[in-house]
Amino acid sequence: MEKTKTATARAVRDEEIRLAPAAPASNQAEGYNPDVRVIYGAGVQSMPLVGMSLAQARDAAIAILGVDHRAPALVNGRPARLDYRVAPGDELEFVHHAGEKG
Amino acid sequence: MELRIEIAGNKVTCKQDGEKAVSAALADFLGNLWEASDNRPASEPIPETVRFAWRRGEAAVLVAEQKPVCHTVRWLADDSPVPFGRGAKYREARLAFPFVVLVVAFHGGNLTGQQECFYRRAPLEAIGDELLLPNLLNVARAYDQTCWLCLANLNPDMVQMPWDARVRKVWSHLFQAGFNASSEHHEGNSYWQTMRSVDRRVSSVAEWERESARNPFFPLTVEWKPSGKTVAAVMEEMMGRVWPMRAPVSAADLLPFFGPPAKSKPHRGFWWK
Repeated sequence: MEKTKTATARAVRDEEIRLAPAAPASNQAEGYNPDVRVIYGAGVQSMPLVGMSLAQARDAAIAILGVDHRAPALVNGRPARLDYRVAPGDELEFVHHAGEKG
Repeated sequence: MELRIEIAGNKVTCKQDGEKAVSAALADFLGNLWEASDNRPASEPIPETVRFAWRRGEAAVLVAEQKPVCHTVRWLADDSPVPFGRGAKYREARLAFPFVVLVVAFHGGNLTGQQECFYRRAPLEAIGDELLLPNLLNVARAYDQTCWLCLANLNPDMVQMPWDARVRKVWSHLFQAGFNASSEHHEGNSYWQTMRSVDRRVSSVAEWERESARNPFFPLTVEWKPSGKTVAAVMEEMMGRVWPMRAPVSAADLLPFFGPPAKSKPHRGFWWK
């Protein structure tokens, strides 16, 4: 019984570690981190991502908004490298274009 | 056909054309009536963006709203050799939208062909709020719907999905599947053609894109035309088509109230599962 409980708890912690977004790399994490807007499908959310790399921001969006991991990230409507540092006022959009209407 | 319900002592009897059809203990009958009128909490969370929901039988009509935001969409290119389908050419455009309201009817969890897309300049506050006409390709006056949204290429079989995934699928198809002129071909119109004259800033995709970059909230200042419909009216129309209200006409229709006591049956929440 005891073993079962331990195994369950560990599985949950592993999952959380895998999904947890990393902390911002810049020194802005010390103080106020202004929100940036993240858009995915109909999901729109303000998130404190300034200073994170786009890769870290993307992990956060996957964990929190359920963004499709295949969806490319756009910054202010333009493609950006995954090492791009999110800046105040940026708008991140995850667009997974899928087919066409008709 | 004559239906009668008689209560005598602790027993309820339903008679059809004078013949006893079904009976139950009064306490069980009343318990079943009470259960049928009880709105239990949903077993799944209410999907994000859903503002109003109406369930009747196996049908559900949902109203979802998205706040004003810019979307990078694929829009039929001016030089596309064909208006839609194989060979159609698209361009990416980052466009600002006002509040977008979707009204979608499901039957047994599946799409029904009853789905409409509207605009608003302010968030929904009441079911009597008015809806505005959008300026989108693939949204047309068709199939007795004021603003029918084309979901023809979206698999209507959603029975295995949780409700949140269903709603996400519909939103994703709206914004992430390419906009084209299929409605001009199949339905004979789209609101992109008819609404271009509403405001100079949305008279072309290029203008719309330029203005979106300048002021992402400009769609809230466009005089979108009224649809003449409220949220309640559209929901009523859809529910009436998908699961019309019908009074019981036979003893068979009343069987659920004469069944075993409600507490012995599994409870069904709003979202069924």
